[in-house]
Amino acid sequence: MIGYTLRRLALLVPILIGMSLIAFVVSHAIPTDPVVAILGQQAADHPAIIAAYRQHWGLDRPVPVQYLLYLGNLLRGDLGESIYSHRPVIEDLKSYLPATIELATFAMLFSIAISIPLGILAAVKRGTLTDLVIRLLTLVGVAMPIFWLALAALDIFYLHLGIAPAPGRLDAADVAPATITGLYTLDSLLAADWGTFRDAVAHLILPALILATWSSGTLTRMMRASMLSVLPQGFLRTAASKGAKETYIILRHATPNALIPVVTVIGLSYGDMLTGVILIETLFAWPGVGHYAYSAATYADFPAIIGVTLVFGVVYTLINLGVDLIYAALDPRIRLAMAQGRR
Amino acid sequence: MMTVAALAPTRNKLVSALRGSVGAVLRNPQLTVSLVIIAGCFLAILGARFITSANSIAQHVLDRLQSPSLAHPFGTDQLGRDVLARVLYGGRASVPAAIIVVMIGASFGTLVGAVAGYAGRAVDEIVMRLTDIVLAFPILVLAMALAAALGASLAHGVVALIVVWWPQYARVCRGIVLDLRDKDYVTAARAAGRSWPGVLFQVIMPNALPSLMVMAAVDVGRAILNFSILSFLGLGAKPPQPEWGSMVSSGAEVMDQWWVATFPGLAILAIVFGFNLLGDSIRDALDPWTGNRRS
Repeated sequence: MIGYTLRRLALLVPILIGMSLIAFVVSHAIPTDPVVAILGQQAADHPAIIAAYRQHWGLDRPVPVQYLLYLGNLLRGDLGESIYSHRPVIEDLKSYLPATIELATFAMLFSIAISIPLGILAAVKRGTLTDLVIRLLTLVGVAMPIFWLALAALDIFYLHLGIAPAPGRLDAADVAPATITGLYTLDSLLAADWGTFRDAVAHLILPALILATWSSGTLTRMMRASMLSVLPQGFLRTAASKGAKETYIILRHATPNALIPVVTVIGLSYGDMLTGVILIETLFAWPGVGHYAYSAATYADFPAIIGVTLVFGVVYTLINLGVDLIYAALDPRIRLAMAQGRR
Repeated sequence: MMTVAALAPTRNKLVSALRGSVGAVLRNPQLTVSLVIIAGCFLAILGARFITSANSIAQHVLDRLQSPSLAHPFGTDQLGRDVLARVLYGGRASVPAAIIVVMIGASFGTLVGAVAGYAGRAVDEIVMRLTDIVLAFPILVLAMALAAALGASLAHGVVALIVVWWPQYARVCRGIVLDLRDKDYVTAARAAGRSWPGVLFQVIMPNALPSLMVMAAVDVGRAILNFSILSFLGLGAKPPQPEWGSMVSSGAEVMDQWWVATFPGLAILAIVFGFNLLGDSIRDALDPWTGNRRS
């Protein structure tokens, strides 16, 4: 397992270098004139400002040197300065990341809580009306324009029924808990501030449920398929022949085995989650990285957009690495294949 | 959003499935429903002027934000434009954009994957590491950065999506080619003295293409959804041109007038659902294991 982990970590290096190359190309090469894009037309009319800027960022050097300078900055955590907030992008991201982590974590928990039971139910009731309804729901889920669903949900549950709280992380009257982790639910729990905790959870439910739509669809389908491939296997017949009850066999013997391949899909679903965060945070006035990305795109704030893209790319890669390691720990066959050099 | 790889069927099953396709359509209600939905959407978009005489761009400020009525079945938006006309003509932005993304992305990815799978280890390594890097990003986030860097417009949104779209096809196609390259009939063609492009493109690829084409056809739904997200974020089609994603976005400004955002959103949902249902029924036909038929 240690050998496998080291090998996977080594494979991470070229990927990260490649990601930085892509970010460099997008940020330095593609805009017709990155200097104008970043400084704005007014400053660009003054040759002295442009020359100073080019020199400062090494833009007067050959392209490979520019890339190395860029890579050096990245390694020091320097993602440039946001045009809109006039703060280092890395500082912006640090202050927005906890809200996004909180939202995405709740969404993933909801998604797992919804899809595992539904997937099991659909597989066990294969071919029945229950199965058909669940399968249609999953297809609607993956086809859902969630930005539209979020609007509809806000309209119905907040504006008309008044059940859901206003967009944002807390009610206006509530004070954010003292920052420990930056996750309001966790911080208010640690401060034993139950009122704030309840409020933070209430504000999370609707956006997290909507953010969970895509991954719930994908995970339910995966769980159903995985369960269907486990159900006919011999060890379940053995358990049945020993007189175990059907529910017991399904939950105790079939489900753990069916869950193993689903683990990898959870990792891949994070890609949808990170995309969804941009849409959901914007609509729910959620002060996270997704919201930041949206305003960056709106104001053509390049350093910020590239910063978010890189951070999301790295987060997504690390999550998938973590998931693969868990998968390998759960399934010895993967480790073996890896040790023998097959991938 | 489902991944393309999940759709990659095995070739032989596919060919036999296609052979009995007409019968299969009639026997498979799910397939029929999906084709009816997709055909319905396409007909409505193409025949927009037979459905409504309203103009999708003309502004009638006096008629702004009217609720659905006989004159305006889907109501009117902030500028008094007919929402039904905008939904129908909006499809002429979203759907062709998605088809172009899939066609170019799939063709380029297929070509790259075919060469990678056949040309040997060095080329293969380079190409696969490149796809690894692109796929290491959540693809829409990368597309968003690209579209923003290029400058927001419909064409740039399409270009951005193509750049993130091809690697999935490259991987699948490479896998198929690797699978086929050691088959006896390929060895025979090599032994008969065919050049390597001849073997690859005339012997191997004709057997790889059917499954890739099915993958691409089903993939259009996912492309529509992704393009509408870019447009919703203001990185795709620009006003006054109607487009579903940007219509939902402008509908968000007038939430009390639910119809402005609801109908374009339903249009996206309907057509993407149609394509997903199609993909699902094709998968069922090929793989009875996960299908809904009783065994």
